Amino acid sequence: MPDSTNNSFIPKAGPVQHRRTSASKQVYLFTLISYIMIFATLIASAGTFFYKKYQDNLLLEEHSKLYESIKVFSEANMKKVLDYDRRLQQANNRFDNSISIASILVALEAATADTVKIETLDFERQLDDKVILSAEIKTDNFDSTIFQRGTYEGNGILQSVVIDSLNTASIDGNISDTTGEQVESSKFVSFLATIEVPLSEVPYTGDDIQSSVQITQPVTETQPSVSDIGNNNSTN
Amino acid sequence: MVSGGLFTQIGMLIISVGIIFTYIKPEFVKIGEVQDLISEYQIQGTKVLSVNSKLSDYVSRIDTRSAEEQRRLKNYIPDTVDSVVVLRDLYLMTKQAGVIYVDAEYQESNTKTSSRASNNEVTDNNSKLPLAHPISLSVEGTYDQIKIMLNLLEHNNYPLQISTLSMSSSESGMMKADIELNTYSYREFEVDDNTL
Repeated sequence: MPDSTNNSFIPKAGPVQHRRTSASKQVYLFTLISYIMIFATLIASAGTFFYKKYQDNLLLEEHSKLYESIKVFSEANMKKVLDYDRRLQQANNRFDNSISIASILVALEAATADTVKIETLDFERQLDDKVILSAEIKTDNFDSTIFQRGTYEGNGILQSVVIDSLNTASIDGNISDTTGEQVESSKFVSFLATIEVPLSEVPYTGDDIQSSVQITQPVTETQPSVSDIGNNNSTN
Repeated sequence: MVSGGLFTQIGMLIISVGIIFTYIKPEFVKIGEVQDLISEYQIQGTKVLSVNSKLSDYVSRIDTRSAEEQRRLKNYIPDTVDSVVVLRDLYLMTKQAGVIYVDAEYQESNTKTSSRASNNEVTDNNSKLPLAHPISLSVEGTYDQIKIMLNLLEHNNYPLQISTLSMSSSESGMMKADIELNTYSYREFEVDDNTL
């Protein structure tokens, strides 16, 4: 029996052979970049978000720590400390500037010759710097005046001795200027001695006044020489 | 023909850039600011801790001072001067020295910020200086008695500092001493934020 399948006038096609096309594995650089960018951005956003949260928490923590520290601070204690410190400073200031007026008197006694008489004596404290002594002094002659000035100047405590308002009085009490022969004939000479005493020279030591004063130059009354008188007169 | 994938990719890039500039960059700036704040808080916190530590140290040092020392300090620079006590003390000193108590007058220091002392030590705006309270005292006696009186004034347990002294012979043949002296009280200070 003839094969009926070959009788058709329709040409027979052989079995279809599909060309198998493999999927394209080509990746474009632009595509890669865009994917990387989007994923990196998303990851960075998430990271930034959480890191910001972490930093905010850290800030809150530091804030609460500082607040706690400030709460511990006691204004009352600070006031107490400042008050105590200020009181100590004020006490120290006065104590450091304490002086001994009695010591000045002792020094003045030691430096005053027997032939002079102090009529009045004034002290004036000039801030915390020095004491100004003003003494109205009466002597029997000019030699004693010159000698007295010398002993004050030579004293270690009494400084910057200025003699002024120098007057002489005659026997009958008339006051005349100090010139020439009248000096020799006058009965007494009066003058005003202004002496500076630095506070540092007479600090208060708490000792007895007799031991607190040390006269640097012992006072011994000697007859001044003619040359000394001449020099001193020239300075006057 | 342009494929739809390209538009998507371009869109992704634009979104990425948008996110970077609208979220990530501003957040980084904020994070920087927060970090600056954190470091500032840490610095200030350290300072506060240091102050607290020093303060407690000073307080404990003050508290360890004996009551006697505290009393002496307050006696030397009291909060206020009791004029009656001062004048009584002066009177007792004159008795002890043997001089005649002629007159004494206490002058109240007028304000907390100024002193009425004529040539005295206290100047305004200097809290290291206490308030001066001037007292005038007149006594009569021999030179030695007056010297003892001055010595007693110096040895007092609170300051009686002589600002002026005038000595002269009185009509009775004795010496007269007019003394201007100062005693002191604590000068208060204002506590403000800068002080603390």
